[in-house]
Amino acid sequence: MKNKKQIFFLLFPISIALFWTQWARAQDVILRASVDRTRVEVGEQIQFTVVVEAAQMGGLPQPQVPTPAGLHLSGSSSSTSMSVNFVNGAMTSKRTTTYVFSFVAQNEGTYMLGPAQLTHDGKTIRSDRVRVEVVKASGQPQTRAAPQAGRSMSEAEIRDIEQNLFLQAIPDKRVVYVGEPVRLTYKLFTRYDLRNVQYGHVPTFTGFWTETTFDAQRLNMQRETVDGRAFNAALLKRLALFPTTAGKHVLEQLEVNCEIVAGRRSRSLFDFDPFGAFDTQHVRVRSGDVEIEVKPLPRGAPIGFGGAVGQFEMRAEAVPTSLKAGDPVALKVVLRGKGNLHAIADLMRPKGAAFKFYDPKTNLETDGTRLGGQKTFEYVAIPQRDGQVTLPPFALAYFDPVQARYKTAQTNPIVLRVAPGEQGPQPVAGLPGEEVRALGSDIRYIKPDRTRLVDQSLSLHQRGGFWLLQAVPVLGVAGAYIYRRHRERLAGDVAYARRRRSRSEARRRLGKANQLMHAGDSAGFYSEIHRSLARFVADRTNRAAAGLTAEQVGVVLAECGVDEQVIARVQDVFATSDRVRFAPGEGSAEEMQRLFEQTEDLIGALERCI
Amino acid sequence: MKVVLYLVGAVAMGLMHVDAISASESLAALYNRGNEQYRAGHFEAAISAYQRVLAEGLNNGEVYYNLGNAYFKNGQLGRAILSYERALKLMPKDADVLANLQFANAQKVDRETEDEENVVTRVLQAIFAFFSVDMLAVMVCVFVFGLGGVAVCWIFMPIRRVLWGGLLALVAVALLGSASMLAFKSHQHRIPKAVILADEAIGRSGPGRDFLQVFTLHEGTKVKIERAEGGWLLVRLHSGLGGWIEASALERV
Repeated sequence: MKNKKQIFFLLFPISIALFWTQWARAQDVILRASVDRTRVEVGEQIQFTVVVEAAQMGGLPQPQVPTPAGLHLSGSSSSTSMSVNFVNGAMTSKRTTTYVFSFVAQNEGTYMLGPAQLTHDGKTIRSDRVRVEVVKASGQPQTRAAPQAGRSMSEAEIRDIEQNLFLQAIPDKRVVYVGEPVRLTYKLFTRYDLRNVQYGHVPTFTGFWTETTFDAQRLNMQRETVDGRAFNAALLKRLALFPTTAGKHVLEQLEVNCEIVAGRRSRSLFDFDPFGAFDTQHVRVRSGDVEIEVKPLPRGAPIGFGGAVGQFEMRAEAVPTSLKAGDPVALKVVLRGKGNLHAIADLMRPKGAAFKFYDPKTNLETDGTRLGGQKTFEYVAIPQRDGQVTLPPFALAYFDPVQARYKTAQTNPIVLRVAPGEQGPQPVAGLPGEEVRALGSDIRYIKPDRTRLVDQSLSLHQRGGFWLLQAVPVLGVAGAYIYRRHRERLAGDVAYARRRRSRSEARRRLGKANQLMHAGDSAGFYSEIHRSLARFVADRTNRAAAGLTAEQVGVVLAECGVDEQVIARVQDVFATSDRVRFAPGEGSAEEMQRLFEQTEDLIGALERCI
Repeated sequence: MKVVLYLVGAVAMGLMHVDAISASESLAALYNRGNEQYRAGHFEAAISAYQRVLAEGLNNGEVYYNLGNAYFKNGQLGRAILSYERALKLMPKDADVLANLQFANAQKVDRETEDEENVVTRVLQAIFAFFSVDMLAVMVCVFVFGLGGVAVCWIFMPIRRVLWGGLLALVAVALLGSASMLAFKSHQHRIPKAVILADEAIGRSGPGRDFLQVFTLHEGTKVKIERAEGGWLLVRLHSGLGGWIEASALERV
């Protein structure tokens, strides 16, 4: 009993919750309508898909779709899916039913498909209407190619496979301008069960810039009706092709390899395979040739046209709008539209010297179809003067293929308030004029003309004279030292002083003797001769001159090691002068001259000896 | 006889002097003609005039400077930088040469990596750059004479030993400093340097085309030459990077 109660309490909230959600969502029925393509040729098929989403568990009636005049309803199919979610105890359920209505275009024109409508609980629910365009058939053959079988088959077999398996390349346009995109869709149609579906050859599309917008990772089969027959169709690829060169381009064929599962149907007795579950047939399928005519852009392109094709619009914004001179301003120019955005490298920048621009940073965001999107150009600009500065518009010249003429998109002008910069001294108030600015830089001008050119290859220290000059102070110091030593000896050493003076004294006395000789004073002459010689010997040997007789001179000189002959001659001079000194009137002029010369010679000789 | 010889010698010396002056004057005329061509915008003619002056063996900084200007205006950036470097060697403190060398260096492709400079190295570099070789030579000379003067004073006035001894030490230190700086500077001047003249010079790991490519230098870059071998030179960049370059791609400063 207790347990039962617990279960009841457990179930009660869940049932309440279920009831509540059902009650709450009962009214929520959503109808969504879409088409597989908005532009078809006469004779082609349009698939109008209506998705009915409802929270209700019960069934809903099939929506009613009106068939416009000019289209023919060729068939319809439906599928249902259901999902139940429990999130934090709350349950949501959704039932989705997809109805596909296939229409065949019979006449040219623009048609509105829908609205699909259904009545539920007395209320009528409508979907959106979808606009489709039916254009004249281009006269191209149906874009399908014969499958190639891996092994030999009869022509009937090949035709049979052709009817039931083909690959279509469907361009949305066959005549375009250079730069105008072509949307190309590859679809695989089959009535067989396929296995091992793989790409063989994938086209490279020379002459086009290719953007892949869809590339199937696995086959997602949907039912489609072609020529009144139901097929399983899978979208393989969807591409945007931007022609780069004019002329007729035949697109390469896409090739798909696959195996057809043919069931246990054996063709002959010998083909029977008792172990294999299925008999498979290897088949190679190619898409048909698609010719795209690319027209060159008409003449008369505006100046600055760089190959942009499509429809574009631009806007610009600047951050900040008030700044100081010399500070950068970030300019963001957003270019939106349909066309070959990837081919637009730069915009036409505003002219004039008011701003300095740096190359932009670009960022391209394309929408899902790769046929359009937005490209952002981020410029850095530096205002070159202060005050209220208007940034002139950025522009882009482009070709509009729909209207087949050139157009120019422009941004709005932006007004910036530029305050004077901080650098440089401000002009003194009241004094007109402006600071001198460097407008350009160049090398300095050449040196002036010269009347003489000096060789500068040797620098000062490399010349010989420089080092000779350095010897002068050295010699000076040495000389000063020697002179000081000399002075000191003269002051302290008598013998040195007498010896140093002896020669000059002797010369002075001889000079005096010469004068006396010429005056005819023979006594004075001989006395001076004797004195000069005696004093010379006394000075040289540091003795008193007074008592120096001829004998003593002989002894002294002999002590000094003077030659005997010289001593004899000295003694002779002494004797002669003594003799004549004390006997006046003696001695002729010739004798005096001879004695004078002899004394001179002797002093010279003695100077070397003592 | 001796007198006659002296006279002849003196006259010959005088004549040679006059000859030297007249040669220098004719070179000056050639240089002035180059300046004229430069002013007229005939840069190639100016270049050939300046080159003839230099071909006579005259090394003059102003001629190299004007030659550099003519090369620069003629679009020969490498040769312009080479001429400015040569002018700077002869006139190390000339503001025009320094300015134009800097301007020309800013135009070349290679960028030298600058050393990280602190205050000490900057002050030292400023001092080092302030003294030119000739200035240092004059300073050495002055200090040698000063040293001699102080020594003579000491000899004759030996009583003030402290004064003369202190002065002697001071002047000796100054002499030693200036002399060592002179020696260092003149050593630096003697390091062979070269400027790349080819548009592009490939530095290799050895003297030959088969060796590995180490770096690529462009016109106007200055390098030190360390070795020469068979038409190849081992050059070193300021950054310490070294490599062998074909001798034809560069020219010594």
